[in-house]
Amino acid sequence: MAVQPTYPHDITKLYVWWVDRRQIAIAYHDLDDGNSGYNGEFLSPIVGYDAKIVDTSIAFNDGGGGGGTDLITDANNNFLNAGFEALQEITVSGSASNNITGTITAVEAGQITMAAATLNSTESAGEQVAIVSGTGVTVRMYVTKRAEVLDKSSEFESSGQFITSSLDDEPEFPEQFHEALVHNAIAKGYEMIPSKESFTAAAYWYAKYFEFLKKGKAFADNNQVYGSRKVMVNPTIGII
Amino acid sequence: MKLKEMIELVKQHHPGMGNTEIVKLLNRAMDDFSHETRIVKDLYEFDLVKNQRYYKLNPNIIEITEVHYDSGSAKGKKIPMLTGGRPVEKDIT
Repeated sequence: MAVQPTYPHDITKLYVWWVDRRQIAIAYHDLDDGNSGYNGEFLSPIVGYDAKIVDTSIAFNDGGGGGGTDLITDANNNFLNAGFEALQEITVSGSASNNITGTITAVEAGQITMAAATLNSTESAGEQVAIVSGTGVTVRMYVTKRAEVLDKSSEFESSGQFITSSLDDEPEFPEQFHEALVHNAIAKGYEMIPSKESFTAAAYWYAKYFEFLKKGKAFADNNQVYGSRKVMVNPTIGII
Repeated sequence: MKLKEMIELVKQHHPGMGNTEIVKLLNRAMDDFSHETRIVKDLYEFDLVKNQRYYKLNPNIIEITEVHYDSGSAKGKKIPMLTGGRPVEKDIT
């Protein structure tokens, strides 16, 4: 068994990521474990929460302050498999009335027992509740994503696709490219009509769509709206 | 341009097409446009859990461009991507 170095270490040299089956893997690349045998194994991170569960299936049972035990239950997840143990300090967030910090007295697969008077009140499952133990380590991913629709009535939150009942929605990319969607839909509409004239019309509208694609790619590459700007730095006068 | 206006423009060419069908075509066009151009960029965060290797990705993500580690003295430091994907050798938990 390879021995990992004591945290903190130089994560930029020792950790790597890759994508496998719609999941991101974060692994420690053990270049020199000090053991006999080969080096270069990939190991799971040794930093982060000791245990974490986030789900809408978490409920709370307040045993009251008179010696009754407080219980946190979860019908969907296994607290033991997630890494929760007795004497761990846990923090609960996202609940309606039990966002608390306390110490676990006992753990079973679907139940955590806390000391009396730890929970504030009994609460049914339903909220997106997070239970964590230990210190979190955040990983940020900068990504390109599938476009969603902007709902201007909810402060420009983007979510989901177009639906016929929300006719005021717009694509979340810049307005000058919205017409591209119309051109694509018109072209596809002509494709469905079996005639020479329609196929010619479809080719015409696809050509117009491809012009937008070309401009869209150039726009995305230039970071004109999203992300950090490209700047030049002069050693004497700073950013140009 | 609002969805309503897009539907009206498509109907000028295909008056017999219903709103539901046009909305499906526009959604497919929006997927295709964002995949081809990579025009929508975003930031996602997740927390590491000890000894957990894999973390589910949001299905809307097309491509991960950079991954940063964000804790303590290493705040904002870039984690390199392993070239070639999942290692077939020396991959132990």
